[in-house]
Amino acid sequence: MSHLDDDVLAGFAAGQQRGPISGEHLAQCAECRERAESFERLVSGMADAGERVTLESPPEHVWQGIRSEVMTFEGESSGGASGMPEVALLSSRRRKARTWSAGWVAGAAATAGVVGGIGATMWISGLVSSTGETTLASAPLADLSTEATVGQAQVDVRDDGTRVLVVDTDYHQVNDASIEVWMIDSAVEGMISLGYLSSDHGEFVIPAGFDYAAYPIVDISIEPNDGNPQHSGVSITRGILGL
Amino acid sequence: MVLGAAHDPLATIDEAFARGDEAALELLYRDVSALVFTLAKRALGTDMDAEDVTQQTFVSAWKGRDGYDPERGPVRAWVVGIARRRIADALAARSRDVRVATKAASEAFVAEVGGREMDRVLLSYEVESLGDPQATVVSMAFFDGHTHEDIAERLDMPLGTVKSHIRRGLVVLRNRWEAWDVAS
Repeated sequence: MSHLDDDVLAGFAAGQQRGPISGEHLAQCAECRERAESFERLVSGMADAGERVTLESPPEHVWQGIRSEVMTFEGESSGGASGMPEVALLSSRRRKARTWSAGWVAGAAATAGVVGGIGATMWISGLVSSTGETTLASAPLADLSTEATVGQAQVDVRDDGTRVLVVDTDYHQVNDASIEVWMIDSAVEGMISLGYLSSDHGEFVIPAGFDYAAYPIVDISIEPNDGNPQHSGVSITRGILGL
Repeated sequence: MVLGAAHDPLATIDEAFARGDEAALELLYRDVSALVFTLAKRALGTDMDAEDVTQQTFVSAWKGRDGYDPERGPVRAWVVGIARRRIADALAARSRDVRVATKAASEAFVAEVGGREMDRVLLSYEVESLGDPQATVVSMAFFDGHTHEDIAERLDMPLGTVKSHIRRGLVVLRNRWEAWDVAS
């Protein structure tokens, strides 16, 4: 006869009576016997385990800690870009944009409209800095409360081809909150977090394959340390990369 | 590949993780963080130590992802292997603090998490992953030792339905259960 189905073997392990034909097959067929034993091991494993354990989830701040450590690691490593596909990023981040207040979105979209105008004049093509890095794009950063210029953001290419967003701005520590750096698309639908700023200067690796040109808004926000990974909506500094 | 659009995100998570897709790390975390945290808490006793181990485990997994080979088994099993070593490290560090024989203590623990306690938590995780009503039916039949008739009566479910949930649940569990042996 042909081999016994998993469904039948599972039934035997659960206590169902074997008929004479399947009993005889099991006695002769090593393969089916091995599969039958795998079900028996599983069943006795559950019986030996005693009570089923109710799994407990870690608090949300654990994920926040992992995320910020992973970001730091990517920022520190020279070859840390890891081929993140843009589509996956968008699908996992886009929903966050929808939670923003309408006012914020309107403001950002209006700012983004400037890109086609004066933005074009900001383009610095192939400029090689003293550190051997090539600058692809840059933008002045504006303090959103005063509109004063408070530094600059630029996209550099390192010698190994890694692209980094370099941020130089006035850093002020905020109690119980972190300063997070984002790149946002001009439709203000998609964004990625690049990590946290902890001094006047920060360098953030842009994932390989990520089309940074589609995300020209550099945004710096205050994020309460509350474990919520979404953009708080409280932006302090912004600039638009001229591409 | 669009992870979010896949029918079963876990079917693609192994490959995506190996490739360095950050979205895969988040999916993996949502899938197995409760398993890692529960193992750590049962071994170490405090929330704080379990949180540390959970964080270290996922950060190590991400940094060390070049060492993960999807051919050898699911990434969740690989991550639990890392968690076991982190738990052993934490216990060893604790033993050093109180000047107990470190090696003996950590070896005793590794044996313990490798045995019944480990199986109990892993099986609970897998049964939970079945989703209800299968999870409840399988749990009543095998963890609690209820008869099929008893389960049918308590859940107000036809006996044939109970039996088929049990058979189908066992087939899924067996397939997933064997993956733990491969990678851990």
